[in-house]
Amino acid sequence: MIFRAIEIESWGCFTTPLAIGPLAEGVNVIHGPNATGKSTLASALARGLFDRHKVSGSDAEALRPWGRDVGPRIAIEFAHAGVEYRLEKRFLVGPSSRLLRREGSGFALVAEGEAADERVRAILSATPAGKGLSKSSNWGIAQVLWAPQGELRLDETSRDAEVRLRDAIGASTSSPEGERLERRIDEEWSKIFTPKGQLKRGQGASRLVTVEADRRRVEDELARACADLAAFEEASRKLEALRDGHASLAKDQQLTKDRLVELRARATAYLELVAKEEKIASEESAARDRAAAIDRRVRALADVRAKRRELETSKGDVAAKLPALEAEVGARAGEVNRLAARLAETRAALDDLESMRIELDDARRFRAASEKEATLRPRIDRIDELDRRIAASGSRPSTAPSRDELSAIGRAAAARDQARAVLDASALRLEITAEAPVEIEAPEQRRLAPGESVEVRGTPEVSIRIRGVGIVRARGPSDLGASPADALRKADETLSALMQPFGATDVESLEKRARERESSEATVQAMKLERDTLLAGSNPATLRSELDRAHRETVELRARRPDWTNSAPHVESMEEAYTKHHASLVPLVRALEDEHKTAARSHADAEQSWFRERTKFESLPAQIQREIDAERRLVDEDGLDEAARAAACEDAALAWRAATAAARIAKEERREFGGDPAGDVVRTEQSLERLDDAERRAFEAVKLAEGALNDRADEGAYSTVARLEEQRARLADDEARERRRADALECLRSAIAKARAEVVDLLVRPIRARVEKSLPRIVGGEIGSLEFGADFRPRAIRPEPGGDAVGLDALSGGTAEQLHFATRLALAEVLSEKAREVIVLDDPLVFTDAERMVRIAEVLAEAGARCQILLFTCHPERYRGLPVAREFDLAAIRRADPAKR
Amino acid sequence: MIRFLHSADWQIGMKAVHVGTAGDRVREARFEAARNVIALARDRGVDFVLLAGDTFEDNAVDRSLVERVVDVLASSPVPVLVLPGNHDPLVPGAIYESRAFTRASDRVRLLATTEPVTIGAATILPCPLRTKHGHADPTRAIAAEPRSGIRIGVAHGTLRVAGLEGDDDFPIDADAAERCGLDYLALGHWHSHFVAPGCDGAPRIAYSGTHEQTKFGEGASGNALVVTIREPGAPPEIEVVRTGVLEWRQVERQVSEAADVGRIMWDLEAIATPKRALVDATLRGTLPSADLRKLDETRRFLTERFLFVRFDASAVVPSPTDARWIDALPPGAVQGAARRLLAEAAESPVAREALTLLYAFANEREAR
Ligand SMILES: [Mn+2]
Repeated sequence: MIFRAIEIESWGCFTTPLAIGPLAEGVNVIHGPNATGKSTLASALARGLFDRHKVSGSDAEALRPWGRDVGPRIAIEFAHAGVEYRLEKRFLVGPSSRLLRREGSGFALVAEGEAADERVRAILSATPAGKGLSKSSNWGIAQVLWAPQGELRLDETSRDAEVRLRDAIGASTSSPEGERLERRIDEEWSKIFTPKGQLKRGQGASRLVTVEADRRRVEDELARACADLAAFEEASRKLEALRDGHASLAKDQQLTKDRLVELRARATAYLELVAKEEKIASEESAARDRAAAIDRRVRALADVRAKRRELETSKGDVAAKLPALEAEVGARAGEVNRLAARLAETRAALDDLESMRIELDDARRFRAASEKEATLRPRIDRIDELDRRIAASGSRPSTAPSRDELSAIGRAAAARDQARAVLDASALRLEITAEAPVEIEAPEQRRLAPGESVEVRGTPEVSIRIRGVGIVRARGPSDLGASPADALRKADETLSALMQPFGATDVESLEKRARERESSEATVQAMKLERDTLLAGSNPATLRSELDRAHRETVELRARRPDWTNSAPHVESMEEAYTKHHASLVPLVRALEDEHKTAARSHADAEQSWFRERTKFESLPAQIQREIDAERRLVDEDGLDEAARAAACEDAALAWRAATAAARIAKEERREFGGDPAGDVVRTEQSLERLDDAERRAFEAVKLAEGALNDRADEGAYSTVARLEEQRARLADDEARERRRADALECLRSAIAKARAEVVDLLVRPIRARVEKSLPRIVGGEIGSLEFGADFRPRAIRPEPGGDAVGLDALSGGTAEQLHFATRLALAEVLSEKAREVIVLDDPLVFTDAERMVRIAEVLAEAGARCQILLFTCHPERYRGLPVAREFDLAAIRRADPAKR
Repeated sequence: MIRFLHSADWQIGMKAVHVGTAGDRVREARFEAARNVIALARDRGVDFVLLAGDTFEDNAVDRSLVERVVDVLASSPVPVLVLPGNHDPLVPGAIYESRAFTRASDRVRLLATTEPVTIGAATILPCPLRTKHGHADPTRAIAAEPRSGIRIGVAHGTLRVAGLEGDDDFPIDADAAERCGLDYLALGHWHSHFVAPGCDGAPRIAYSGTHEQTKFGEGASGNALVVTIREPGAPPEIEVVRTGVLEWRQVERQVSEAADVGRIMWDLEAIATPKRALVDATLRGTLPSADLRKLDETRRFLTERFLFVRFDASAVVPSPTDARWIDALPPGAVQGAARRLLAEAAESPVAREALTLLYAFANEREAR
């Protein structure tokens, strides 16, 4: 279909009728500045062709001419399949639709109303629109060939357009049966896979997934069962080891028992040997005792006899010594007696010396006591007197005030005087000075001569009554608080209260009294000081008892020595006499005493020697007799004679030697036997005990392990393993089968996808080839290869042959625009192969520079040879290079219109 | 003369991992086969039954299984001598120590030691195992004594025979029978029946094999041996008697057309007792894509018919030349995808599976 002419009226901004045409079969450039209704006109074409004439709704209302209540009207003349048509439509107000065809020079009605709308859609293979304005998807191929302003890029391809394109290209990608199969495969595939190609899990999971999960679960169970089986075998091995251990212990136990029996027998043998040895030893000891006894007797006899001989010799010696000793004793005794007599004489002189010493002592004491008596007596008397005087001064009563009291009274008197002065000062004074003789009647009658004056004082008020004049009264300020009179009264009271205890009325007498009291107190203080000095830390009683003692002593000594009553002894001369006598007598006595002692000792020694020899001499006969008795006893005891005794002695010695030899043999025998096996027995018994214990424990461990093993054996772990392995094998087979099916579906699906890609490639090849040819011309260089989708829209570009494809977003704004432009042109050319089709472009190239515009003009011109091009633009200069273009200046047409009219 | 029954490797409580849900049935079959062994002993009037080890799969099998085995053994009219093998060695906690086993009647005798056991004219020389693994020859326990009477050894291990090396657990020298002065050495451990001749050419050493097959591909199993020895030194007479219950059938086929698949069904339908049969079918080759469906049908059919079926057709590739159904697909992406998958199918099992799926989806409408 191509357009011949367009007329519109009362349409948007077009209030007056506008006619464009006749249009060229090639390129038409319809231009005008902005806001001259370019886009309105472009869109009006679609509205007129595809919208039902009874279209309604708010979108349709937008078609209504500005500010007018008339129906928009359009008339389009177009050619299709060799027939020239005219379509006339009015919308909104009195809507109508008429399709006419050229018959000769005029048009004949083909259809009217809905039928006309329907007929046009059929001609254009468009789909009926709904209630509102038609959408571009209802426009048939116009959907791909008409590019509104700013929508050069094809966002989708309508179903109708796709079908027309496929028809035009003559390739088919699918058929209903083919689609059914593809859907069927997709349906089966999507039972297993998610849209992203992952295995479906969870709710709605495929059998492959559930079987796999089952298989894993069974494998987990199997692992546990295998562990049980391994545990059973381990328990078996453990029990075997325990049994071996126990057997080895039992063997050790038996060996130890056997050894113990043997050791016990040896211990008994040892004990027997020891007993035998002990018996022989005791026999040896007895033999030794016997030999020793006989030997002792022989020796004792020899001793007794030797002793008797010795005693008899000693008796003779002593008898010869005795007379000399007796003489010595006598001589010593005489010496002792002579010295004793001399000592007695000297000692008598010592008695005199003693009585001299006693008298000297007395004299000393007498003098000390007399002196003490003489000093103490006057001290005591003075103290007594002082005590009396102090007592006397203390008993007198005091009516004099103390210093503090006196000063308090002084302060009170001063306060009272102050109060009085204040009172005096506060009194009202009323003075009347007479100028003429007046008579005062009150407070006292008086006459005042001129110049004389009278004063009245008082408080709180004073008055003077003057005869013939009246009463003059003065009042002071009332309510002054504590009045000075009250203050005076209070001060008076305070003073009286302080003075009252002393019975005085005036302060001066009280002061006098106080001075007297102070002087008396000073006197007493002086006396007390003297007394304390006299006492010197002691007290009167002590001093008095000391005096008594001294007095008694002098009285006593005078009684004993009456000559001291009149004159006191002369102590110093007495001391001299005593010392002299003492020094001459005492050393003499000492020398005599020593001499006497030495003599007495010599006498005693001599006497002792004599006594000893004498005693010895007297005891010897008895001693000799005892030896004789002893000898007789010894001989009598064994009753043997000397020869027989000697023989017996020899026999006993022989017997003893024999016993000693026997004992040595027994000892040797025991030594050869070895040590005492008792220790070994004990140790072996302990060892056996330990073995018994270990064996018992091992036995218990065996029993325990047997129990555990039996429990495990009862589980029948192997059978569980067998069952689970079979289950696993079944599940693994199932899983493999499901997996094969999943793989096959995936494989089938991807094979179809690849095949479809090939078919699509075949389909879009004419479009792609055209674009790949025109686009480099426009751009002025290689652009690589392009990929188109089955919907004929460019999808990606591959800049390098065999390189990666990149999205169209990667292209610059200009190049992208040119690609879409080239694509639209290619689609138009393909669709125009059988019959010329129109392509409508509304200001399509806004990003394209002037250089490329020149090349685009060439491409457009070539396209114009195959299809009709309606180019709406506000930049007509950009298309000036188009030689075959027919131009329509909208502004000029609109200006011309009224004139035309 | 002495006659006895030689069996081994009952492996009671065994795992049956790759037989799907048939595990319980497979285990149960081992009991049935065990009863067959005892019934055989009764039928042939043997003097005793010898179980040469691994009566149980493990010492830790469920004790209720032990009770059931003991019940089977106790039903024997003659003594049953049970040797501990490497799966059920006589260790602490062993089955043979369990109350379930020790309460068994006197007829069930555990060969717990190497102490010889005399039954009738025969002296049995046991070599019980006390560990799971070992590198010593268990028959070393038998003292080489001058022959007196009929001597029968019983042991469990790996016979050292050239060309038949298995694992090296409990190796048993090939001359063990001569060395120990035995008339017959009854062995357990191999699940397949095997006889090794002695120096005199007589069959002196034998494995009875398991009494019931344990897995696919295990040959010469599911039998017990009835052994007769007429006198000391006489060659043992061995009769192999079937005791097995289940059949384990393995099929491997090359396919190139739908008829090949049909033939496999035909062959397997010949199995008389399908509910006692386990089938392991592996298919390779190519099939027209349209016939790939046939594989699923076959799988379904077999699975319903047999106790257990493993049907592996993952190696069957759609014929690369067969593109008729693809031409019939809607043109465009789906058809393009189908062609793409077909090109990959020979190399990629996933692509094969995807193609089969597409085929199924494409035919859904028809199916409905
Ligand atoms: Mn074994």
